[in-house]
Amino acid sequence: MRHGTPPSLLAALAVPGAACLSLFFLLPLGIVAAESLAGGGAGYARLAARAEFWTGLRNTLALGVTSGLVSVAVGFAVALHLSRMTEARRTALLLLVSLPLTFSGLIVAFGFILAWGRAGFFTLSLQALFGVDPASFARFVYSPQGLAFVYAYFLIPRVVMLLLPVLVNFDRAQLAAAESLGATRLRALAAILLPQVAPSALVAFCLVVAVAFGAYGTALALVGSGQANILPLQLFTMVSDAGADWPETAALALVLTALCSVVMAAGEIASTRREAAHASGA
Amino acid sequence: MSIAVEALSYAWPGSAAGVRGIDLSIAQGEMVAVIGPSGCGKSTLLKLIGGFLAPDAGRVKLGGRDATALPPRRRDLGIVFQAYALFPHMTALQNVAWPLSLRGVARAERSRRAAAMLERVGLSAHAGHRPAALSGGQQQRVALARAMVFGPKALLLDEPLSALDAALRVAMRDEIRRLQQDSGIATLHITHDQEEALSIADRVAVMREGRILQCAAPRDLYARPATRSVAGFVGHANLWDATVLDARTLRTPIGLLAADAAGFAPGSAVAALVRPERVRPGPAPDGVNHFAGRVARDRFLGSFRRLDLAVAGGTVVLETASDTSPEAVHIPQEAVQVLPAD
Repeated sequence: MRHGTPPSLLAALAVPGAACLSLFFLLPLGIVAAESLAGGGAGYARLAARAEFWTGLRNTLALGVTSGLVSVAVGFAVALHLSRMTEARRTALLLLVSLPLTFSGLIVAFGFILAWGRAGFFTLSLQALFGVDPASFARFVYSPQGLAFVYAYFLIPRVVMLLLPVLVNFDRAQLAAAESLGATRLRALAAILLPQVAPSALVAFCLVVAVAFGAYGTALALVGSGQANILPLQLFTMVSDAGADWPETAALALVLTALCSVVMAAGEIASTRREAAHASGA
Repeated sequence: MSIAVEALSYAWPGSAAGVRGIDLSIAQGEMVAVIGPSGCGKSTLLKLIGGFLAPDAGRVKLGGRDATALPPRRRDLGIVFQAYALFPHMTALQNVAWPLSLRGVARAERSRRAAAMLERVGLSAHAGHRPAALSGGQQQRVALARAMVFGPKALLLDEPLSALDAALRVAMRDEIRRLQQDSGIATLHITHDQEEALSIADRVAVMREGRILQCAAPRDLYARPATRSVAGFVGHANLWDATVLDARTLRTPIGLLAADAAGFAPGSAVAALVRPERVRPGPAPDGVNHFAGRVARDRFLGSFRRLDLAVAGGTVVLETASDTSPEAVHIPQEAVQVLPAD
């Protein structure tokens, strides 16, 4: 007797997804790729010849890695805390944690301006309490370093969502065993918990770094297209320019896509290898 | 080194569960098993001795020294957890060597000692395997080796065999006993399996509702239970509510029972205990404690059968090697124990 869904039905169910993927990802990607190769790939050469591109690439990498590290560090702590709670309490708090994911980048940026901008609530509070100069302080929020912390705001929930299942399913008796064997709490966490969470943390890190590489709405609203030299804003400026160099713009778009894809793939491969090693038991 | 707890109490927040006024001592080289129904407090007792919980009152002494305030890492106890709690990202050898690395033992020396310990538990061939590649029994051996490799002052076993199948459980309990005796280490063995407790422990403590009802050698516990609860929990038993009529007679639901009730006042409520193997098939030669009935249930258990004989007013359980089903049984007077009612 045969069980399961018939292959024809499975194929039919896959059609809408495949159509969307083809129409809104593969086709545009193909067009952009073809555009980037116009003129024998001269667009890539022009892109590589611009010093601004290389500075933007460095800034983008720095912004992505910094916000990724901050997000994973904070997200891990939050997920660890949530994992120790009762399920009901955890579910309630998880709703709050995931709230930033529902906001657009613009809303996040305006929120930060209201809170941490020159006339922001916290900035003025710090001025009133400690005499901090609002202009100097707010400059940090509008700098690339400040941008990393703003990005972390909407990247942390992603990390929490990815790490929470791992931490909830972690057998805490291992930590008790480690302590009974002579480990301090910190040593138990570092030697027993962290290595087991590391594959998921790596995937989470790569995911949020890739998201940070591509994000531009928050940066645009906060610092404007001219003040932060990062690749997504360069791309935005080039696309907005009526007389844009389309092959170069397409080349930049593909570089950015490749950057995100490489980071995501690296995370997945490293994680899969580690999980395979675990599963084999060798 | 010995383990002792004195007047140990702990109540779980928002619950009546916990332990109350526990006194227990385990001498060096002795194994004490703690048995009792779920929620009786036996695992709480282990957590208190292990340092994972701070008692509300009382003390924990290790080797005669007060260890109540010490954190788990400073108690130097080998603990085998119910699901073993092996570290899945380490091989069997790394698991066993880890406590040695915490104690600053040099890499070569800890590898040698961990390998020797794995050899003691018969797992040398699996030293390079991670827990996921080991069977339940093998994981249990690794957990035992890890708990013993650093020469702990005492051993705490938290239902270490509960995850194993029946055949493996029997083999492993003998293995645990052998290792414990070889090491001469004081051991607290928490289990819900009374057969396991009776077969390997020097003494068995029966817990109920956070208290130790009785702690005695297995034979004494079985033959002379202190209370009706202990009698009912340890081994199979015919237990009847009874009233003392005089020093030699009890009234029970199944009729009058001749017994030695000299220690109890006439009219007092007691419990009558008769172990199934003490019930004799066939009519009583002198007519004393004779009960006629029919077999309501017949369980074949290999070398013997356990029968439920439905008699007027109740059931008499007996064990017999005979193939015939009796229509009557008798209970020798000396087989009847009179216990205080709970």
